[in-house]
Amino acid sequence: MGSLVEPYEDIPKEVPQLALRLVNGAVDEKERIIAAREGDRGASEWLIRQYTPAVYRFAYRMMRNEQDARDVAQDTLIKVMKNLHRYDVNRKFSTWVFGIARNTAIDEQRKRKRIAPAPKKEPAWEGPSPLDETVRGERARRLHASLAQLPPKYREILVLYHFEHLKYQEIADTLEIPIGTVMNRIFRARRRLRVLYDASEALPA
Amino acid sequence: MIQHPPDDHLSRFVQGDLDEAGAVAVALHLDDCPRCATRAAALDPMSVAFASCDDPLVPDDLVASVLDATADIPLGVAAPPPERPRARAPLWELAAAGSLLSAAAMLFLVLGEPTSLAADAALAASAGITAANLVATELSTTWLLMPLAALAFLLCIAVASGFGRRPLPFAQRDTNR
Repeated sequence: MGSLVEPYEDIPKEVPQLALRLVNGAVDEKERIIAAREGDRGASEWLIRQYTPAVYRFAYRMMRNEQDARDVAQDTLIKVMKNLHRYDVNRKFSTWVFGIARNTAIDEQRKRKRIAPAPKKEPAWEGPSPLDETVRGERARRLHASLAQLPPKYREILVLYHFEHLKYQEIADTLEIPIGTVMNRIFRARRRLRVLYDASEALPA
Repeated sequence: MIQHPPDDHLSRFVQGDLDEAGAVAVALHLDDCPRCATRAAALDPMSVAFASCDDPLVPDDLVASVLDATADIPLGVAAPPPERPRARAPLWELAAAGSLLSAAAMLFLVLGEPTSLAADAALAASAGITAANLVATELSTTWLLMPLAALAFLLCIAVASGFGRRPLPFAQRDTNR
């Protein structure tokens, strides 16, 4: 990695060398994490910009409420930054972050004792407008309504797999459960979702 | 690493019809084989519904507000470990026992008619006990015993100086000098 260090002449010498490599975009995620742990604000900002949208989307799918999702995303990133020194660099960073996000979402749900029902209109959701709602939009509406009815442990595993595209082993690491448990849970979740989804076909939108 | 599973095996996997060991083996294969993962997704009747969902819009100001909220967090600094309470539980018992022993020694010295040897021993024991008692109460969370121990210590000094009792043999020895 040493050959990547090409400091610019116009940058003050007190700027850490790693920061220069961040400017060049030549540093991978692990190096940015290590740099952030050593106090590099540029690296920590990069991590926040990189992970905040993903954590928000996960939180939104879990909480079904924009304000709750904002709170979960913000609390998660605060915890990530505060506990960065505890992160095991041999573990995948995204699974560690999603693990914190998942625990934060559970805490938030317990605190508020509610999950907002799936809104009929979802202005924050990209997709077809109600006026030109397509079959695709109808499928999405039914799926979100069905997901909202699942218990959190089933909802989170489907969200992690189908929306966040985590691998099975990564889900096991995120939820800190054996992969066999992941498989059992995901199959049960799919069956229950399928029943709810099929039942929603008969219901009016 | 298993070989690429045939369609019927993948279909049973998607339906959850494989046993746990078989399902885990296929799952680990899918983790490392995008081609088979795509095949499995095509066999999942719910994958079409999942594919119909767009990502929720992330609020424009969210990243800025998170950056703002994390700006004051010191990086590279481990949070100080929580202060561990000292093991003080037995000390209050020691302090209470010391107070009782001090009081007993005081009574013996003030009310009794001790011989010089017994008086010297009782006084020395009392002083030692009260000193230990003071240390114990200092370390103990039972601060209520502190005044009691201090009072016992003062009484010790008062008795040693001859207050409230007849002259003791060691006092006579002092006057003979």
